[in-house]
Amino acid sequence: MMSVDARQRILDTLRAGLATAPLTVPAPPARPASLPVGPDAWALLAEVLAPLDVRVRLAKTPAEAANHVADIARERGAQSYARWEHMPPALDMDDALAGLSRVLPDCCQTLAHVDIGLTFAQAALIDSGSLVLVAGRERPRAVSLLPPTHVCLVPRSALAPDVSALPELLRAHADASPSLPAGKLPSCLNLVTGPSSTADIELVLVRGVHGPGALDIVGLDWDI
Amino acid sequence: MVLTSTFTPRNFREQSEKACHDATLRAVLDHATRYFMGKRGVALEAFADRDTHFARARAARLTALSRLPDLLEQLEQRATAAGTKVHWAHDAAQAREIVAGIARGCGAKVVVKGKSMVTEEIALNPALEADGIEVWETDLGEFIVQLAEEPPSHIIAPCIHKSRADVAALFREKLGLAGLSGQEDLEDSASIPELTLLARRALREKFLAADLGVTGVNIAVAETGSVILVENEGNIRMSTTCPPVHVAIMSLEKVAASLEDAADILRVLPRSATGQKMSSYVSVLTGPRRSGELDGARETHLVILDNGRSEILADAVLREALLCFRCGACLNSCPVYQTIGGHAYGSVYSGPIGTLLSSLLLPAKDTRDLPFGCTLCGACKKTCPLGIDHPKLMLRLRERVCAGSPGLASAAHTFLALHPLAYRLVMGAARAVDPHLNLLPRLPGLPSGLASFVDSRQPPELKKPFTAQLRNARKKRGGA
Amino acid sequence: MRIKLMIPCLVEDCLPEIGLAVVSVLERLGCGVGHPKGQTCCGQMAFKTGDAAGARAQALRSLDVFAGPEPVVCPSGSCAKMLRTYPQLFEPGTPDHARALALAGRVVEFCEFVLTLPGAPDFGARLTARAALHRSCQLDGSDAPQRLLAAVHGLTLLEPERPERCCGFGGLFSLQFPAVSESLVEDKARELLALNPDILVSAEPSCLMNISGYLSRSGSPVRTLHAAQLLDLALNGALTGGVSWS
Repeated sequence: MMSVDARQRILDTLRAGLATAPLTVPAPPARPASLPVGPDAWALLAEVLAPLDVRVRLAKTPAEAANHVADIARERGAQSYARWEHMPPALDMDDALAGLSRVLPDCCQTLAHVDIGLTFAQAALIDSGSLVLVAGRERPRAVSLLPPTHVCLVPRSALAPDVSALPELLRAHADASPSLPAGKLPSCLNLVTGPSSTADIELVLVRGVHGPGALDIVGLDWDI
Repeated sequence: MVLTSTFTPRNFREQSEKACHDATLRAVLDHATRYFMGKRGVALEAFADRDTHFARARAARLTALSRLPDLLEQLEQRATAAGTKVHWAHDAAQAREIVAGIARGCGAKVVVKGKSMVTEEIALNPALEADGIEVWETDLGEFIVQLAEEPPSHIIAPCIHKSRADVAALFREKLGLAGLSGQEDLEDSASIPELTLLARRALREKFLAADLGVTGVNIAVAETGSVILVENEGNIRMSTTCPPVHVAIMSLEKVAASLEDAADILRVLPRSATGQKMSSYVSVLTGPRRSGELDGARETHLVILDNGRSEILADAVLREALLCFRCGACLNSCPVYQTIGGHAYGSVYSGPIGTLLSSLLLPAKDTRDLPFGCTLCGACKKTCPLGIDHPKLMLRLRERVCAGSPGLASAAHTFLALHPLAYRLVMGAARAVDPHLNLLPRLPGLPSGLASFVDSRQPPELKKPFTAQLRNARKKRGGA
Repeated sequence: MRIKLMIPCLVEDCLPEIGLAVVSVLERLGCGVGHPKGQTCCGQMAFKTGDAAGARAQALRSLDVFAGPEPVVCPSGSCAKMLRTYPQLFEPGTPDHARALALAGRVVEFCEFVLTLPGAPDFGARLTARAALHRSCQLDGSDAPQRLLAAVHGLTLLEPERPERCCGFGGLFSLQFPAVSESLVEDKARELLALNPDILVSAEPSCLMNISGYLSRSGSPVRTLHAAQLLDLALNGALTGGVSWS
């Protein structure tokens, strides 16, 4: 009840304020055109991610991709992994990671003890090196968050110029909803740009404070 | 704003005068502000079409203010349709009561918090703790200042005033933490990665045990009912992913009309805050987890907080302060902040934008000195990506403090300025009796600072006035 | 060209030599310099204290004092800025607002003005010295002092690490927050002296007073000069106004 009063009071004050001092917004300059995604897109993505200690490995075939993932697991000394159920077609990562125990990502408690989380990006933004992960039914959020290493597969078709692509991406994943004109957006979308990091103590950069300290990207350089 | 420390905006002058004599603090501030300005400078140098992006971000924020009531109603409707429960809080007490009510409703025993200035503003932690709830700040810097029982000292880096040895001592004494191997005591010489890993382990347990996650909001999108959260550590993702309930608290101006406006803001905010092209994690959250999803909060709440902001919208000059998206760049650029740090301001928000916000949100009697703690050099205005004209707002606030009664000294000065003959007489007399201004500044009725100024500085000498010298020179030349 | 000279109160009573150098330089460069009677304060003190009524009253006086078609030249960025702020003090559409706008359009900071004179920026001025320039935040990022002084033959113009950082004066600020102000001028002096200059130059009298006060207290032999004084010295080989140069 109190908050109903608060609501009305707040809205009334805001409306009175704008009536007293109307605010018109001058038209801003047009948004600069995004750079086209060209043949150098993978190189650009690798370049922007290099300072964040993120390595982009490129695979021409599913078999190469599987090899990369196996290499990463070995290099990180991983014993276990969890992955999204929903993966791009023709990729059998379980085979590549056969030596590791696969853990089902049913909850955060389980994932807290897993070495590698394997996901794939619905988009990768070349300007900032951001991976776009859309959570959903077979794509739990915590897979890219709790394990100390996050391995993300990026299909070539996912390469996008910059964050101005975000609205369209979100809408593309929206569910029909009678009460929402543009549909209901996915419950969670994460932009992931490099590993978890902090510089809170003496401004010294440390990777992996709460999220993964390592992020590895495997680019799937074929038509999916 | 209730603070756990003894700093108060009422004592801003004393606190800042004291802070600038603290050599350790000044060294830390110098290092930190240069670090942030340096990273930011590099990032902005390489930012193609920077000014256009700045202008678009400003337009997105202006649009939000220009349609604020409508957008908040739309946000409420769309967030509700997405399954989020929306609450409105007129002031800090209401906001605290709402969150405490949610915590009681879900039987919360442990609460994890993402970094949020607004929860500091409403002093949420003591309210929850009073209900017997364990509250954990999970941003590393906030966690450290929480252990130290101090307020944050910087919007972006809350504990820049703490050394690694300070942190080690806190972890040892307040958490009983041992070193990494668990065998020996945690030494003051522990490395920063070691300290960070210890904090990760300690807080990991809290995330997994938490019943409720509380965060602020960087952007709330009216057209979709989403909240956007920006961070580097992953603690905000943890706070919204692990506990079954998530409460997001937004100060009401943080709305954006559309996803496009939000994207325009995201282009600029990380670059201006930390010199990153994008922060490590940006989460766009819309409602609770859907059926079949394995994680994420099952219950989501959005608290829309006013706490004095709605009143500001009627002032065409001062409402510019509501454009701020808290990148912290104005703090780092401000020579006064660089010298005194955040605590001296005595409130949650410090530096140039903090001076403006505190003056607008706190009782006027407590903040009289704040807008005068500024040299009007304009470094903040030059730095602000949103084009906020802090000095102009500062002057407007001074006008409010002065409220038409300028005080004796200032009134006398105005009187003299308006009467040139009297002005010349007074200056002439002053020059005759006290040309080195050793005595006059100590006259009763004059601002007390005048005397201390004379004590610590060399006051200017009164000389034969320019007008007289020019007249003589011209007379001589004319006569020659 | 005829101009009207606006002399800041600080220059009138404490730093008259700056005013004399301004007159000397402008006359040497062919200007007719008028010095309107009855100048006191531009109203900045009142304005920055938050006394809008006092500032308005003083602005009205200045509108009368500086009436006329000529450019109003001022050897202080902050006072020039105050005169340009006058329109803010009056209701748009009123006659006073119109007068304030007209005056604002005629006000020029000294260095900016000199750069508009025929022959600028190279007037054949010559001075062999190392000069550290304090840009002054009050000039709002104008690079006029740099451009003007860079054209002085023989002059090595040096800029400190943070050229636009405030010297900590801020008028009222230095009275209300003396210790913070002192810390800031200490930083500024340290950064300027690190350049090992012979002269410290600025186009802002209040900054000069603040920094030179600090320097003399700390026993530094470095001379402080206004840009007009440096130019006067470089054009005429001597400083006007009875100040010796050695």
